[in-house]
Amino acid sequence: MRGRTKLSRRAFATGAAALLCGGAVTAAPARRQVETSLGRLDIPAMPQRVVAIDSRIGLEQALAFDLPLVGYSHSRARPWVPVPASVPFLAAPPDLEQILMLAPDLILCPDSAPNSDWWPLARLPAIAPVLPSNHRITWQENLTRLGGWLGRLEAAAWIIAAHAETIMAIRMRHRRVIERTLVAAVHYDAVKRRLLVRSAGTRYGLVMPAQVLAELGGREVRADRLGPNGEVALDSFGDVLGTVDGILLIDFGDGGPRVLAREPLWQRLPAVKAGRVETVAGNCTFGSLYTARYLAHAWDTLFTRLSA
Amino acid sequence: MPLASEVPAQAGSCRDACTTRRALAIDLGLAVACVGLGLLALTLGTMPVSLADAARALAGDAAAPVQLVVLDWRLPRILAALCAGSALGMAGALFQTLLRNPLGSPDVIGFDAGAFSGAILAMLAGAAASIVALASFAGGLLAGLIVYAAAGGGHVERNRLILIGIAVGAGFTALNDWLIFTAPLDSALIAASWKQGALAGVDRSRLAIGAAILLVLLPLGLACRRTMAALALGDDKAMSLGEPAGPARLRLGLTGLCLTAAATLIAGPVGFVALIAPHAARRLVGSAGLPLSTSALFGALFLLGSDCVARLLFAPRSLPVGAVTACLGGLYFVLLLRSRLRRGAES
Amino acid sequence: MTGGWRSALMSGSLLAAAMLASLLAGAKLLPPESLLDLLQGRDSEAALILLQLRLPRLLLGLVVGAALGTAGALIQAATRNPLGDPGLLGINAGASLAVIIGSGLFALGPEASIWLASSGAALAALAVHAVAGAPRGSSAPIKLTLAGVAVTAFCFGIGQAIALADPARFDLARNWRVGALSGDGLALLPAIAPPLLIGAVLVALLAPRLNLLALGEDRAAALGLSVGWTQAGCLLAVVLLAGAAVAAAGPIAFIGLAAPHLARRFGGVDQRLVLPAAALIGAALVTAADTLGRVVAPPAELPVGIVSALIGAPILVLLARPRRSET
Repeated sequence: MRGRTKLSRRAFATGAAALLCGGAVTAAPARRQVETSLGRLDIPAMPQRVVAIDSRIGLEQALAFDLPLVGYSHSRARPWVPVPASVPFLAAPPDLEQILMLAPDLILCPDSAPNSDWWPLARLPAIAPVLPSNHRITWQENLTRLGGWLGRLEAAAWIIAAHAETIMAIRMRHRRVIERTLVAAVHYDAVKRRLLVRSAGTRYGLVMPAQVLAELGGREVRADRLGPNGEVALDSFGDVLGTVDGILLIDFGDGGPRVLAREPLWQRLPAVKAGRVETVAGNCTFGSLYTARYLAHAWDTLFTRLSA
Repeated sequence: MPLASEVPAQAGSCRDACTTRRALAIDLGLAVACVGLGLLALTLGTMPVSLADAARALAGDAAAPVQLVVLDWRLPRILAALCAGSALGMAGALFQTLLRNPLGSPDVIGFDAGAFSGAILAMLAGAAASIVALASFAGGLLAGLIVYAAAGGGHVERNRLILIGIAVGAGFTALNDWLIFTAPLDSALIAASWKQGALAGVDRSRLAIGAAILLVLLPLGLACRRTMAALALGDDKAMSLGEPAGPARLRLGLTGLCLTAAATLIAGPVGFVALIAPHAARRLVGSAGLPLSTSALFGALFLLGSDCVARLLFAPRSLPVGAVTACLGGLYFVLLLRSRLRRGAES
Repeated sequence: MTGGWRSALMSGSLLAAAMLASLLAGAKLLPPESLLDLLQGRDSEAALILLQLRLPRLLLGLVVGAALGTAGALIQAATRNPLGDPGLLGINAGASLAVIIGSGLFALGPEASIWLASSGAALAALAVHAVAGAPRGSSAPIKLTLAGVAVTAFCFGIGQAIALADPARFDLARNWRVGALSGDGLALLPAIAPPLLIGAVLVALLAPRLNLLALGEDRAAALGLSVGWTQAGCLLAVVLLAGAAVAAAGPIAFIGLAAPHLARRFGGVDQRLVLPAAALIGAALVTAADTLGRVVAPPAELPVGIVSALIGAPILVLLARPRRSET
């Protein structure tokens, strides 16, 4: 019952109300003992108030398992992530006191930088048990790991199987194109004038466009041609992307594609000349099942265009 | 009081006594202000905590969340600000006496940048928080030694030494920018947030290391008072008072360097505290030299106040404390200028 | 006369080498033949890279470097301060803060940024002099530099506070602390042309007067020079040149410090030679630093401001160390 005693009247009222509305008040609150990278944890079997520190992985996972969310941080939820309007976007970087006042009984947080302001994994256990996620393993592994801790392995398996079915359908539809063509997902940073390839594994982490492309069995550009964060210098456009048949252009909403369209070296690329560029709206670099589904659809559209 | 003047030396013995009494009173006032602001700061933050609750938490019988917020989060941060601020204030007084220039403070002459380099390198190597703190300590010392060596072992005009310090600081800053720029994103983010003032992430273990070092250093610093007074009289006089100038300067410099490094270890590279505190202390006390204890107490108060502003101005998002000290420090400069211009117009 | 020739030859060859390297080196190394492609108007990828990327960037670097070199030479001559540099004296930081306030808070475009940067530079210059207390004598340069460092820290502190108060909007003005030439040269150059031209005209008018000033203020006044107006003209020129450079590329330190020193080493003391030589050498230094930043860790680029500081800091140490041969 940590964090739910005499906090402040309002927070207490919200907490109590959430409990009642959730209708999940059971006689004896069941606990689970789980083993994570943070050691042995005692977590509620049916979490009632969950905070997702990162809007990408944790938020999507919580929604996938239908966990009762009370807030999330890092950045606003992407349009394709079905987060209820009642779940507030908290301060970013997260404010520990704000989170404490929400009286969560479970927190989801990436383990990429435990002492940072953005993902303060090291300090969150003082508030509530924390289950970590990692951006260097696939979203399926992350989901299965979390499912195991929460005792929801079946739900995880079902979600993963449903996604695999979608992927298989796309693969069947475009088998020949996928085998024959070389594709790339890119994002253009208009301020620094640099292109970032997001369809190849780099030091930046296992990014979602690359994961979904790998599931589809697609062929990607070689990572050794790219910078540590997937950068391509403007003058190497031809060298790195000259042989690419189709491009998925990720639009962060910062006007990048508009500026890129004016770059003569971009216009010169065979894929661009042939009109084999598909724009996908929104930052989909990291995420979980919803982003995977969104990207599967985007790649599907690109391959449809390539087979035409 | 001209901003860029040499520290004047002589003062009558009667005036000395008056100044000493005044200094004591001011020290006491500043100490009370530090404690008062510290208690007030315990109640400030996103979570409303009354003064009574804070007191109960200090006594150990408040509700668990209040206990957590007050004892585990706010108190270490407040203590860290007080520790780092006092160390910086004292280091500033030592260096400004040593270099006989009110702008010759450790953050201007590159020690902060060196400490940050050490911290980044440790963070990139994936070291634990305590190792990062010690690496920053080592980095600050290294920067100081480089300045000392480049200046030909201190046998150089003081202003030239400051200039060399500025150059070394610029070099370290460029190195830091390079390291952050080419680091993988995770490490770069951590390094960047450390630079924005590490007070937010201060925990008991780091505070304990820093406080332990300061427990040794602050008395050592206070013991420099006599040496400082002797040096202020000029090298020959100092010699006749039994304080050979060379070793005395080295002692002052090393103590100041260690104080700066300890402050950086606790709070990250925070500018302007070491610059402002001695200056303000001298104005408050009205003494000829730079009062060490007053400077340390003012530094503590200044850093704690800046941290409160940093936490509350855009709450719940907090600003880096270094940005606040820079703004407040700049404001202090402007006010100082105005009063000087006005005095100039009158005379 | 020999000094003039040597100065022209040395700075000219430095510049030519830097320009050639800047055109051919980068994430993609171009063969020298590709320059012929460009001249013959052939539609090859190499020609396109040269025309669209390398040439505009080279031009931007040259203009920014020349502006900074000249500004440094002007400060050094007008205030007889061997440490005169718009970066060290806080002028760049003031200009940069003005730009971040204008573009970050009021969403002003690059054309407005130029004039904002110049006003910020002027304010910073005045603030530095006020903080240092208008010092005279041999310690004046160091006092001014110290005041410059304090003003720089203050400006960056406010800039950081603004930046962190609204990270999203701040993203638009990202190179406010470290100078970089990654901007679109073709769009920026016309915008900074007017202040640069005014600055250049001022420099041409001021150069002979600065020679008189070098004799000492009293003697210059006795020879009929109005010292106050000359120094005011210099300040105006410095503010325009440094402001334009910062508006186009962000703050770059040490170029204004190093270029005049090298220029004097090659070309003696006549300001009519030193000023153009400092412009050429400044252009060469910025171009070289930018090229270096592009080849050390491709395809990522190290901003020119970092490279120039890494090279410039040891130079400042050398200048600050007392030399026995120097009087």
